[in-house]
Amino acid sequence: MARFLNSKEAYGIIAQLLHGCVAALVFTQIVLGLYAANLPVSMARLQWLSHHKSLGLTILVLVLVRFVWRRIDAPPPLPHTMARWEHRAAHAMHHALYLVPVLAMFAGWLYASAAGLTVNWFGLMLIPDLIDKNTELAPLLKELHHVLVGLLVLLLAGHIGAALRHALVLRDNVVKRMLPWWRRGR
Amino acid sequence: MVEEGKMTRRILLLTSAMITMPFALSLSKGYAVRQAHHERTSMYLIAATLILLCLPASSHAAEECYTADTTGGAVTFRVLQAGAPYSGNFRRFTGEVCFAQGKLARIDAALDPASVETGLPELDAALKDSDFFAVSEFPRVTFVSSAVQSRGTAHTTRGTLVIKGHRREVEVVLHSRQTDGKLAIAGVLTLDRLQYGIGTGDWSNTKWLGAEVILNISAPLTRKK
Repeated sequence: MARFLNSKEAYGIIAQLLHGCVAALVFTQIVLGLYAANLPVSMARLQWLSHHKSLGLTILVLVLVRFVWRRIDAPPPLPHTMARWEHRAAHAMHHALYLVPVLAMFAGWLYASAAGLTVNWFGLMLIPDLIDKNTELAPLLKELHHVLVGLLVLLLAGHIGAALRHALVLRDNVVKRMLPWWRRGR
Repeated sequence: MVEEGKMTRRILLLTSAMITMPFALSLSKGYAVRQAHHERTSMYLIAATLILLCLPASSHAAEECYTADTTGGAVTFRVLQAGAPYSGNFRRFTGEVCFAQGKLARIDAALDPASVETGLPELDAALKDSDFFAVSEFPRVTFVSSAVQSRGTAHTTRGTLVIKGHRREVEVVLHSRQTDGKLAIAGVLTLDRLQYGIGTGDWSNTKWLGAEVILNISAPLTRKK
C-alpha cells in the first residue's frame, strides 16, 4: 500500500500514474490540435477538433485531480544538493505547469462557446457553454488559446530540459522519483 | 404566375370595350330606330360581362398582399454538429404573402443562400461551395404555396420547396400575428438536408453532421400598395 503514496524519496504509484497519463494526453492534445487547426473546413476537421475538445476537457479534469492529489499527498522534497534558486525555479515551474494548461483549456472552451460550437464530450455528454455565441469575441479567444498553448509548449520544453539536466548532467535522483521502475535506491 | 396588376388591367379593358362597342356601332350607323335595340343589347352585354367577371374579380379584389421584410425578420437554422446543436442564419430573403378574408391565400418566397451567416467566415465560405448550397449555380431557394388550410391564425401551408435544384412538396404551419399594429408571420420547417443535396461527399456522414435541419422563419409583413 505504501508504494501507492508518496514517500520522502519518491513519488507513489498514484502520482506517477497521473503524471504519466497527463503527459501522454497533453502531448497527444497538442499534436491533434496543431493537425486539426491546419485542415481546411471539412468533415475530418470537424471530427478531429471534436476529439480535441473532448480530450481537452478530460485533461482539465485530470489536472484538477492531480492538483487535489498533490494537496492530499505531499510530493517528496527536492534534494539539498540543489541550490536555492533551483528550488525557487522548480516551484515556479510546477505552479505554472498546473496553471497554464488549465488556462489554455478554458480559453479553448471559451472559444468553442463563443463560436457556437458546443462541446459534446466524446458524443456522450453535452457540455454547457461558458458564454453565449459571440462572433466578435471568438477570434480574440482563439488567439488567446493559441498564445497560452504556445506558452505551455515553452514551459514543457523547460520542464523536459530540466529533467534531462537532472538525469544526464547532475545525475541525481530527481527524475528517477517519477519513474515507476525505480526502486528507491535499494 | 400572372401579376395581379396585369390581370386587373386586362379585365378593365375587356369590360370597357364591351360597354362602348354597341354605342360606337349605333353612332356610326346613325339609325334612330335601331338605337333602342342596340341599347338593350348593350345592357345585356354589360350585365353578362359583370356576372362573368364577378367571381374571379371579387376574389382578387379582396386579396390583401404583403411583402415580407428582411429587416426585423429572420431565417435561422439549427443542425447537430458532433451531436451538439449549432445554429446560423440567412440574412437575405424576400416574400409575398397574400390573405383573403383573413385566411392565408398564397405565399411566394425566396431566400438567398449566399447570405448564410454562421459567425465563422471559413464555414460560411464552405456553405456557399458545391458540397452545400453551390450558390453560383443555385442562387435561390424558393417556396411557392399550392394549398393553404387556415384555422384561426394557424395556416397549414403546402407548397413546393426548391433547394439546389431539388424540388420537394413540403408542409409548414405558419402563424400570423398582429403586434403593435403590424402583421407578422412565423413558422418552423424541419428538413432532411440530404434530400436536397446539402452536405455531399464526406459531409453526408450524419453522425457528425445531423441530417435534420430546423428552419425558423419569422418576418414582419408590409402591406403592398
